[in-house]
Amino acid sequence: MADTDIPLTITEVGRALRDGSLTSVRLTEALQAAADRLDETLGTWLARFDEQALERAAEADAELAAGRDRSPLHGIPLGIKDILATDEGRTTAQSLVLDPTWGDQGDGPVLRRLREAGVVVLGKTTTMEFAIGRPDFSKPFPVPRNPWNPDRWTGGSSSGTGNGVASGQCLGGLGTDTGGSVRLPAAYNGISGHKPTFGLVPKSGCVPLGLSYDSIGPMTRSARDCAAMLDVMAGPDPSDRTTIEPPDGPPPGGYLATVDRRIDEGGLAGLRIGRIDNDEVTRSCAAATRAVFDAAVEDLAAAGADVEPVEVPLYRELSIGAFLALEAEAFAWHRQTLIDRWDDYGRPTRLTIAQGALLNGGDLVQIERVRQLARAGAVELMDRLGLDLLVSPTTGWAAAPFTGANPEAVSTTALHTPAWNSTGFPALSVPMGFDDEHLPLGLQFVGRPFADALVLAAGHGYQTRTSWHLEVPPHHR
Amino acid sequence: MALLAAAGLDPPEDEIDRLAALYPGLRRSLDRFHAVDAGDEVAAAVFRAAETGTDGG
Repeated sequence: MADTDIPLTITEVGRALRDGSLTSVRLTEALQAAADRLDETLGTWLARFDEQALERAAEADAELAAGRDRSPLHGIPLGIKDILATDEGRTTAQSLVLDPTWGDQGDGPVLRRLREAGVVVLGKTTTMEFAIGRPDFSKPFPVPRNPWNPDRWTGGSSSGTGNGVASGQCLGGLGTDTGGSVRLPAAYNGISGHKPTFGLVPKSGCVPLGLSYDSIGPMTRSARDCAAMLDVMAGPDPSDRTTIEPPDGPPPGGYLATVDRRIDEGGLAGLRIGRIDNDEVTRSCAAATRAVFDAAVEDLAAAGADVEPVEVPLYRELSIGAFLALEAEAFAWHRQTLIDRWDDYGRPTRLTIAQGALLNGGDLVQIERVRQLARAGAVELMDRLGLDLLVSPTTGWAAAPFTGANPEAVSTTALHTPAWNSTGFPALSVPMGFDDEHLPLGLQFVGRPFADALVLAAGHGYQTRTSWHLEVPPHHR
Repeated sequence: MALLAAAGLDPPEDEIDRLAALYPGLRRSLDRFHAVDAGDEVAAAVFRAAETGTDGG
């Protein structure tokens, strides 16, 4: 199979691995060759584990040939955001500051689960420094670039996983999301990214940003592929005391089976969906984004969903509260290192984290109290209106240029993601089309707590009717 | 800036100026939360005297 014939999705590659038309070794070699060609331009990788990956791929091939099929992820090569510890080597968080011994304990529970499921770890992908800040050209790390236009940002902070999946250098990967850092690069790169319900996936083995907001999430071509990864990733672990089982238990058969069953049972038909109509969303949106979003909503309605406009109570507080609180939480973690090594941090990162020092204790307490009220208000809204899901654009604008960007397009108000970190609800971004400059735009599905399966099923239902998630950028393997 | 010094931070002058310029907007955002009536029963965090397993947060 030629490199260009290798399928785009984990789902399709899985079939090829099992019908013998592709091996994990061949696949891994192809993705490594793609990285050889593309990484210098796109800045995807901080570390590559080429030899270990090929060894693991060979093991996967042998296991599959012997009839040991670990999971739909068996033999699938993934990229891992470099704030997650791995057995292969050091974690840097794309910073000069992180203690070199951080992560010496090796894989956290999510990595252990993925390896048990048979994945091949290709390497560590680029990130914003400590998962926060802006692209920083002053530090000795690659600046991740958008494969649709390398003069544009990938979004962050799960930047390398985002552009790696989009450019075909990996079939999926891990990101983390505290205010939007899975969903934003998913939207900007034209791929799918899921922020699980807070507490569904253990965070241990991850450099913290905002411990009460952080989630580890899958990033792949499709919502179905995200479900396959979530099946492996989800579940409590004693190392992370914020993890719990879903109150009604895991979905019957798992996330992937539930997503597939939903399609068999009618897909999007019959779902009641609230289109978020708050000013903070509708006014912080380019005209092109609004037009593409309106078309996406029409697609949902044409598929049989019942879509109505809604306003989420305390939406602005949910949105800004996430960033304010995570800055305070990040400052608590970084305080001593900021004092000792201010200049070794990138300027965007240190100025962002230092804002956490400007909140007082009463401010943080009140943010968290309002957060509790607002979360309850969002649940009450969905209950009162009988809503299954909410939808909005993931961002108001597509990826910005590195210089000369529209300030409105790169402000935090352009991100329609952080409210769902505040509530802890599951949220998925899938591609919904392109703006006037042929840059991808994302559609965000939001669900009730622990309704990840329904959120992913809705994304998959949308993707059975559209093909935006299969579009490839100019810079692709 | 006094808040930064109280936190132990000593950035260069231009970055202090940058953070000082951000502060009024930050303060307005924070005051927005104080304008919300959170009532008398909503706690910022739930502390339990004994381990009960995990708390959903």
